[in-house]
Amino acid sequence: MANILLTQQCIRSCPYCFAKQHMSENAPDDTLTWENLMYIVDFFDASNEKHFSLLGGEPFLHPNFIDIVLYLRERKFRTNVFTSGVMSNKMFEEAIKEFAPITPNQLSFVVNVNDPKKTSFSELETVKRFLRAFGHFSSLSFNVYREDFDMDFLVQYINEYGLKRHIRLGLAHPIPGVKNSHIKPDGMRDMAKNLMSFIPKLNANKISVGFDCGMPMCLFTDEEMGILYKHAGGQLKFTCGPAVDVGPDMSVWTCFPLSNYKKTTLFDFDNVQQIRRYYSKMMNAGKSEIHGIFEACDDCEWRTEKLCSGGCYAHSVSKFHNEPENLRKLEEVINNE
Amino acid sequence: MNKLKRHTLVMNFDENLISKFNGENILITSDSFNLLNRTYDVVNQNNKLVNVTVYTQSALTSIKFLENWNRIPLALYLPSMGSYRMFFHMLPVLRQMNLRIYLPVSNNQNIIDVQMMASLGIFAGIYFDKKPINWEKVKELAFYSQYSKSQHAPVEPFHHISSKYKSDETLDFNAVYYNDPNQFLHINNEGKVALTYQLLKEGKFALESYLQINTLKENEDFVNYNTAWQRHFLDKTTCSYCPAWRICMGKFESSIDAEKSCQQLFVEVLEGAENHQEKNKRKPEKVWQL
Repeated sequence: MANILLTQQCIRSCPYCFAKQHMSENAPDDTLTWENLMYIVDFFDASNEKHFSLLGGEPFLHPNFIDIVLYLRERKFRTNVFTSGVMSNKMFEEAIKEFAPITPNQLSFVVNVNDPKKTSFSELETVKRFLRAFGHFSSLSFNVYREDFDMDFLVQYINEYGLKRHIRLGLAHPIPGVKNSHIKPDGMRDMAKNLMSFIPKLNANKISVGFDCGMPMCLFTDEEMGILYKHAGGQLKFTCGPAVDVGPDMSVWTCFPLSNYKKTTLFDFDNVQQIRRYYSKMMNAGKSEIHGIFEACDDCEWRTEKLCSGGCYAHSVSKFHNEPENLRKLEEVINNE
Repeated sequence: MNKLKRHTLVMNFDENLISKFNGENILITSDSFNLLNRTYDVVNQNNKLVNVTVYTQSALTSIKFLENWNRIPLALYLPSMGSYRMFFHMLPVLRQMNLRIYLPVSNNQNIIDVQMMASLGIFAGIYFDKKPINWEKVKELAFYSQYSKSQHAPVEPFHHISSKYKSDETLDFNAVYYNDPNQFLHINNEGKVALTYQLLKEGKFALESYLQINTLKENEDFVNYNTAWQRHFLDKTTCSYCPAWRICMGKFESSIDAEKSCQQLFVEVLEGAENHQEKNKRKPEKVWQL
């Protein structure tokens, strides 16, 4: 699903933020205009994709956020909103009123939550208020940036607020050339072990976990893979493919960590399939140079079978940031593709 | 009544005047919504109501649409659309209506709002209100109207130009605004006939009575109106060199700027119209048909 950025402003400053570089390079007051929104909607409509995600920054900070959702509903688009759940009282009350007639089939929220122990009281209360009001629209998203993360609070939120029984688990990825908190490749196995320790509790609560892009398959033993297979109903993903992100200024890139590579504009394409092909070619070219985040990725049969992408591509590019000559060569390959 | 061809007669709602016509196409102009249903019933008794055009200073979202207006063909000339929130709330009612909405082009927001309405299936258009125009914005709207791959309602006057354009004829898109005396005649309450709405407002009548409409072909004002374009070529005005002459016919002569922005727009629109025509040319059947 493609992502449309409504605004570059964000309320939080998460240590793992993988949009950090993109945000720092763009004016915070740059918000999506109605003209651009209509163009984007027509573009996706003509591409036969009647759904996309709204992103930020924090989408609720866009002054016309509610009207945008209402417009998308009228255009028969299914809208998914990635939010922190943190917003002003006025916006919250308006959202309650205006979204009341909308069904969860038309609108859903993926609420990105952080460990409550590391979150301020006021932020926590605002998030809970959101979950209380929009629980039936919402599922949780949790970004892992330390090996010793906790998931108990996610289970508690889901049960307490009647949320969708699914958690999007994202691995915080590095941004090539920029510092952010993320798990280094040598810490990933510990992270995987920690994740596996929560699976029985998640199963008992009938909550499934889905991996966002860039989770390497070899983090899990065969036995763990069997457990995960049953847990996720066979829906396991270990690939890293091109997403499509569209900025308020109509710039297009493949994902936040790689937002510096081959950034272009929506006006250069006729449909979204063309964009995906464009970035697939770019990533495939790069992947022919770097196979994955581990040495073992080079000869991995699961990679050649395309069951695993060898982790997040940004990890691989990041690795080269300490090797200027290799990085230059890689960027040449990527940019010439 | 013996006429050149069947004109649409444009007039205010005056039951006495309307009773004098039989079997005519009548378009009623008004500045209020008070008598819409009565208008519909009275006009359709012996004539055909083309539409009721309401010129009002209210924004769209401040108009209270009644459900029983849905049988009435309506055109609204409004200064603005109003808030999007209200508009979205009104959409279920608006979609029931037989309605076209026109906003003045001089306000950039109106250009966006017309696109917004069209994208949600509401027939809409701009009208030229003799104020400075942001031609670039108008060009974007024209491009949307003619090239968008996504389904949308027609946007006037571009839809009119695309659908009526013939490569071997000129096209006067003033017809969209009922200002083409070959199709529309404006009649005042005394039955006098003016060639355009503007001439009616100025009290300049071509005929003293609607009963003389059959003499229109020989009428000096009418002939002058239809040959006025020749001046551009006699005087070699800028418009006479314009590649988009056929669809504009010098309408913006008084406001041509150094960049010839109006020309840039209408050249694009002409190209769009030609593309549209080409696309819709039916190819001869090659395979047998049942």
